[in-house]
Amino acid sequence: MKIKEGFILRSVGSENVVVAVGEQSRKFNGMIRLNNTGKFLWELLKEDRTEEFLADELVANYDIDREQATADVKRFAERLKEAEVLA
Amino acid sequence: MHSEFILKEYADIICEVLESGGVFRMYPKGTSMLPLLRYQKDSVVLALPQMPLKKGEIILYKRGNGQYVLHRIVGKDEAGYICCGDNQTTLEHGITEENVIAVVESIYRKEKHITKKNFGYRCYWFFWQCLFIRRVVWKLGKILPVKNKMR
Repeated sequence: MKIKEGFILRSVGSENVVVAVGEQSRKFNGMIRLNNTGKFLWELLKEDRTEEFLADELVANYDIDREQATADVKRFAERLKEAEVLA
Repeated sequence: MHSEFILKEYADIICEVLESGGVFRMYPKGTSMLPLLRYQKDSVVLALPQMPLKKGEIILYKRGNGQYVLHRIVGKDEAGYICCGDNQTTLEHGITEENVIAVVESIYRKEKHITKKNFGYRCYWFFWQCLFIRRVVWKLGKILPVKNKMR
């Protein structure tokens, strides 16, 4: 899975915000707010990644066990799929 | 309930989206654009303004004091555009093209999408203008007798 073209991640104060630009903004309304872990995963998803890879990266970079990382990635991916952000 | 944000903090992002040729959907706060725009129910689709703007267009602009406002253009004079909320009678003069950030391309009344070409919307705009003139006259009528009594 990978982020579709036409989305940008910006920081506003302490918040991380994703909005659509160009033509994509006519299909995607509003914005997605991400915490720091979400931002980390978002940056990785600029390239095609598997859920397993993302979970591995979470375990390697955060104080989190494999089971929790897998659950977090799954929930994050579901949220992005619902928002039709993933290619 | 839609997530709220402070427009001032997000203005740069909105400008970036619009400059990319995109649109930005926003739920305006306040009551100044009633009955057209109801707080937490209705939203507007903002687009990059094409100058010159026309009377009747709803614009997002930044005041000199940094405040962001979504009001309708009701006229133009040598100082710039004259704006007013649909629920207001006080005219705001001197809105220049530099103040204007976005123009409302279309409206969502709840989830019903309404474009500027929509017949119902055009009727609303026509009757609103008539009502607006009546409200201004009515307001002047309330002020003038007081002045007369003071003489």
